[in-house]
Amino acid sequence: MAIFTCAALAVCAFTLPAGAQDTVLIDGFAADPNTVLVKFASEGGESAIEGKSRNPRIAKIAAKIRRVKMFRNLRRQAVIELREDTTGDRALRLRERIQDLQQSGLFEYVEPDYIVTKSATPTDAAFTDGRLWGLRNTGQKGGKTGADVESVTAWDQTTGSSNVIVGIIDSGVRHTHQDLEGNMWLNPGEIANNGLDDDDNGYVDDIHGINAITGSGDPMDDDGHGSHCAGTIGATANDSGVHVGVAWNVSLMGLKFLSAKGSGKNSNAIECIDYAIEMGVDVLNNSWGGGGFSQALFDAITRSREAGILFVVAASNEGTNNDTKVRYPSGFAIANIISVAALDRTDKLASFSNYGATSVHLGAPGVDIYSTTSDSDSSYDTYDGTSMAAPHVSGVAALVKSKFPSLTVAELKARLVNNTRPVTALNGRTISGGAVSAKRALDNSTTPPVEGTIFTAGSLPKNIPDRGTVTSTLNVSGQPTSVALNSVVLQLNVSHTYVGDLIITLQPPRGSAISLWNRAGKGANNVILNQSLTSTSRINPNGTWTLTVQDRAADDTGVLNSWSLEFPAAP
Amino acid sequence: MRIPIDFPLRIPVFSAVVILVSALLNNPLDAEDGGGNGASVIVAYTQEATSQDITKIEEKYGLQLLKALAAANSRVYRALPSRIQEQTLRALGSEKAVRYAEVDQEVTTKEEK
Repeated sequence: MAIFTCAALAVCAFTLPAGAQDTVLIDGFAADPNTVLVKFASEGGESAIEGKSRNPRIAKIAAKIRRVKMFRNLRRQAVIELREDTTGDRALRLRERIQDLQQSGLFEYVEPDYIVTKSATPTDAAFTDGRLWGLRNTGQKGGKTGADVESVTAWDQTTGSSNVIVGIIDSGVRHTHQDLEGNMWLNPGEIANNGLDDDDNGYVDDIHGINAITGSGDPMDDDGHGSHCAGTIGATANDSGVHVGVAWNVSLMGLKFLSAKGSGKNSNAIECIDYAIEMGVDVLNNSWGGGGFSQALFDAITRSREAGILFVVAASNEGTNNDTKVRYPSGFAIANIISVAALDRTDKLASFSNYGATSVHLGAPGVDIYSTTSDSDSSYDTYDGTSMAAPHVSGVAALVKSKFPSLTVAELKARLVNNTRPVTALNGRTISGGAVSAKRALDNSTTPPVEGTIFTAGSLPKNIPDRGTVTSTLNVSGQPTSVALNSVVLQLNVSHTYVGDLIITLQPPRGSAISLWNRAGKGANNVILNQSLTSTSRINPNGTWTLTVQDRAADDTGVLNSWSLEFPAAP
Repeated sequence: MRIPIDFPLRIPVFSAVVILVSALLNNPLDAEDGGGNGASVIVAYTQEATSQDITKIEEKYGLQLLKALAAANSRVYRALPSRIQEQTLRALGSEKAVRYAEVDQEVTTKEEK
């Protein structure tokens, strides 16, 4: 056993790369299994364990010690290297040996030698040279320092986990790409390339996901868009590939439904959603949109909410207000949806980005975004779009879920939306007024809003005949006997080719009918309402509510798609 | 019945018209796919609908199945000829076994290349 002094001992310990060090977990923190930090109870205490003691108990302890390194400038303090003991549970063995030393009476204290690492920053070239401004913005290329997803400080807490599955509903994922291959989801129930549907889920050899267009188990990307999104979410870190994602460790599932031309059908998106539900996905990234209201897509996203999946959606790229003109799927009023606007490197809203004070939740980097593509296993490119913003949010969601795996989807969404980095350009243009922040979402627990009770009308949709009337009823029960009507939120979706023909009223179980629409909008299409009822009256709301839609002019027809009433949660 | 003097000439013309109409009905121009990304419609059935109910509806409306969405209790069919699609979807929507029927809408990526 040797005893010597090392003034620079702390520095020696800190410069060891964490990955190269043998560690055990003590109280959730990594510690060296064979060293402890001590302070001797008295001056010269170290001599007692140099084999000079005749006390058999101390001699027994001394036999387990390899050497003692005294700190030159810290009196009586030392690092004790223990002889290696690999028997049994090593964390338990370390605890026992600490207890033995404490009970020897030789020490004032004995504690684990916790592993300290420098801030986690990846070595990947696109990160270190500043191309990935969305992850770390130091003002490069005229950017604004700090206008990023605050990932660097977040990575000190977590770099993600392969236990978290993020599905990318898109054009597929080039799963052989050098920066994606290591983080691709692996279907545990499927044997690769044996031509069988081993897990009996309807797809043969679905190792990394599916292709809903062909019905095959290979989500290989033939466009590049999906691979780009995948790279932003979770390109592998500290490797030969130049890219790194928001989450260094994650399981990326490819769900292909967009063609090489970048277009696809709702039915194939629905197939992808249902596959993701079956295979236990945590987060779904959706950098696509278009079309009008679809009950089938609405129902599928609702199923994903019931399965506890966060549904991250691009807000769309028309540069318009989604509050005024609803975009789908971002505009569906379903609680697990996060709609994402795009920011540039100066924290300005991208010129193409849609926004919405009541319909778009937050912003994220979406201009000049560098990521993986599908041309080859080493191809990369720079894209713009809310398509590129959404994956930053999905990546942050994966980090948060990795640190707090038991979060519900409501809690996960609340952490992301309620802990944004304030951005002036998003104030009044998004629900949160800020940009997604990995650091803040990890640091701050947030109580999700208590959801009210939603009653949804059944037996819909119903056709609205020309110059005809359609009614729909909804039964409310279990509510307080006195409710202010203006605390009730109505959601209504009517498709029509000339809304100026329509008169829409809502008759509560008691009191007067409420006018919702009275031949407004002239030749516009569709009536979509998401608003509180305007009456200040209080009524007993329990009973049958009746919605009536009248078409009062010739030529045009429509469909009553859906309507619901949300009552506030009890205080 | 008088036989027109040009009857022999009319036979191939008539046959060609029949073949063309038949081809259009069986393979409408707006329904070119085989389950991929062509035009299609989604029909959602009620939980109570039996396989016999579904078969009857498919036969009644001449629906050609592209794929089943089991979790959604829905089926995707080849698009109907555009001139009758809207009225057919409405008629489908009024069937007891059908929750709703809608056009399978197209969506696109949201990037600015």
